Amino acid sequence: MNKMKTFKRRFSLSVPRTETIEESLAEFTEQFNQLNNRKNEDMAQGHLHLGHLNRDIRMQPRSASPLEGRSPTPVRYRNGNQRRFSMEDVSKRLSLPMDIHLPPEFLQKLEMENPEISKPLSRMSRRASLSDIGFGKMETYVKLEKLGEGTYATVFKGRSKLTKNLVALKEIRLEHEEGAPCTAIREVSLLKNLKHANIVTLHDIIHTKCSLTLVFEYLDSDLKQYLDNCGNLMSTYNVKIFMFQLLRGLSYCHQHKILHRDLKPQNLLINGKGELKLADFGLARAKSVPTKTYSNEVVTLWYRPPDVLLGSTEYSTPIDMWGVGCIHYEMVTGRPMFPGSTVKEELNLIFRMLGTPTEESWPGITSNEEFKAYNFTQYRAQPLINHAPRLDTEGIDLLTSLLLYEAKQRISAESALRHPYFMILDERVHLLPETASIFSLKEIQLQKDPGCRGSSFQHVARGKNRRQSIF
Amino acid sequence: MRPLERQIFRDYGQSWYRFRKELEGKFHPLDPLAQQPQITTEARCKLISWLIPVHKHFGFSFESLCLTVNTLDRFLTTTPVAADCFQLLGVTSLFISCKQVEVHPPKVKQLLALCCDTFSRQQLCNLECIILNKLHFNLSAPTISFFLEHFTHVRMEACEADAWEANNAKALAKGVAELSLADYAFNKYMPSLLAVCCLGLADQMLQHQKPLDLHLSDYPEGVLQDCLDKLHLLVSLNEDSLPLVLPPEISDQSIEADHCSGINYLEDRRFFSLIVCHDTKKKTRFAQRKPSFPCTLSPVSCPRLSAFEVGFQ
Repeated sequence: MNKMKTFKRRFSLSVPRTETIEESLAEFTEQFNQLNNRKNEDMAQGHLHLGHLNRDIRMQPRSASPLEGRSPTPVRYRNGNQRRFSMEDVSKRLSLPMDIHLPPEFLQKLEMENPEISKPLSRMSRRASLSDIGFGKMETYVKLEKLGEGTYATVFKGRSKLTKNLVALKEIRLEHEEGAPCTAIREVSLLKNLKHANIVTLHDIIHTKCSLTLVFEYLDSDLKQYLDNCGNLMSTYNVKIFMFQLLRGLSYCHQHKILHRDLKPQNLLINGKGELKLADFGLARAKSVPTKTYSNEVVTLWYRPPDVLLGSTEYSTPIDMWGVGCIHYEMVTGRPMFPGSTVKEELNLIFRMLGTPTEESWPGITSNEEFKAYNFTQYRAQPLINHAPRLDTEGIDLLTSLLLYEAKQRISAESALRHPYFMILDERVHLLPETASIFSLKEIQLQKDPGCRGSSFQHVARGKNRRQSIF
Repeated sequence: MRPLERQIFRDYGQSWYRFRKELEGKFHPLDPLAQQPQITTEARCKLISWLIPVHKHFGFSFESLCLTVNTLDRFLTTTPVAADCFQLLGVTSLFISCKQVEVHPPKVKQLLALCCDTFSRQQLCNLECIILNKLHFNLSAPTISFFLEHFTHVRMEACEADAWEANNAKALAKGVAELSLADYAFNKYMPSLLAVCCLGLADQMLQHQKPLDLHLSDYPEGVLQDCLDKLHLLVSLNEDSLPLVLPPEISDQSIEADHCSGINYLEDRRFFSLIVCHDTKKKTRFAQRKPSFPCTLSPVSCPRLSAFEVGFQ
């Protein structure tokens, strides 16, 4: 550990004696950013003279740089007098995304403490102030009960002392042989760029020495649990509302070149209002879909398209659309569409309902080696209406376009949102800003599900079978 | 390009492009070495020129390499780094990038072996934490790789018959883009600008009949020309090494950088023999070869590297 400390110290060189490393680093970054901004402006104004401009910059003697004076101390490596630089210190410097929504009362408080704050905050000082009021610190959150435990993370329900809101704390252990888990790195870096009413919001990140805690907004339930609680009998209007939100979130992801790859009812979180949000982006952006988790658990095959089951590696947006079809069916009928436990069984279930693919329904399939090797029975396609009698004609049409064998024929999320199936919803749902929930239109309200046992589902939602599988 | 890919591109290509283009500025480190007391442009060139064969050795994508360089540069803007930790920073950046986009990221052990076990597992994992922390997990930067693909798709959509030309231009442009990653002089250019100019230059060099229309990138003529000229210079400086980074079908064609017009070349090319230290022939021996890297890196021993420094003096 001592070695490590020396090593870390070496990362922070040239620090004036009077300041702590963190302070000077912060200041340094601040100034540096300002300098950069200035340069940016210069460039923006005169990009036609880039060569000229740069020559000028280059020819200036280095000492003319305004920053040079800040660090007059020569580079030192092992200075025993320097303060030890620990991970806890580092984590204090980390704070949250710029765009986090602060409750108004906090902003007010901030303003009272800092009368000069009216001028725009620079990124660094904003960071510092957010950190001062408690973002990025574990002390800010009270852990309540455990919600679930996964292979690399444990999820707790929690409460933010700042906002008094409930949060989900996803605690990721970092002490692995191979450093930070890929899934965590992917999930955080992707979610930081996604802001949408139908995608779970990442509020805060707390990075400590041996763990990383992601603070998500808290949602009571997930689609699997919702289905359980309404006795697998959902109002068809609610199915429509959930489908619309699912497609809305997914369309946003696809527009940003992000595939979810692991859609399933457990990953669709639902709150009391009926807002549905996509969660668990750990597999997004990976180039392959794994069959086993790190702990060798089998990943569910139920929502996986036949092209992927047959070994296709050409992943693109249609991979998610198949899953949407399966989820649509599950909401309407109350039972999973293709609950296979092996690849062969899964394919067999698919073919038994939708018909064994032919050159006509899936061009090129008859020359697929894997497909030939399985030697499937020739089934004829069954009318979907027989299996999902509660679904209207438009619904059957949408389901059919989602469950097409040929990936490029499958309907896209955008087109699906415009499908006649959703005509009954107010036209204005298409005009909502990305971050607005569809329930901001007062015409759209969740109906009482016919199978619902309690007065409303959220009272029942706190059962002992909390979601386990999401994380 | 496969039919599925083409169809998806038709549906989403423009929105992907718009989104990345918007993000580009936020992820662009302008002058990461300005505040570095020890890391010089030479050291950066050397490190990246080393990372290029390393990423190929593992079979990683160009996307991973671009992300690595971006992570590295952005970290350098936040933290002064000692010269003897610089290689560790390079492999750790590679490690983080691969975890984002590769199916099989490298093992810590493999990365440590590449550095001749100069560093420990603990050090690498700790540095990973520090980088993630300092960059606040903002890791998915738009890359040259993405824009190369985008513009190639665009031209294929516009004119199907030219798929062959488009693919060749992309392969050569990738080689040029690799060179530019290692050269600090190109740090100031946005990835989308570099991508479109690399393709434009590749079209010129391959004497394509239907070159890409550079204006679809929305950059003004002057900006395009400036970047194009610098790239041109870079390529002419690296005539010897460029064919080695190209796929065989292109490097067999005679590439004549001098066919392009508009620039006076420098007189003295010796300076630049080391501008690109990567040599694909060496890649198999790479892991065993003791790199001269850790600890000893004196700025004096390195040639001056920046393409435009010579071109415009």
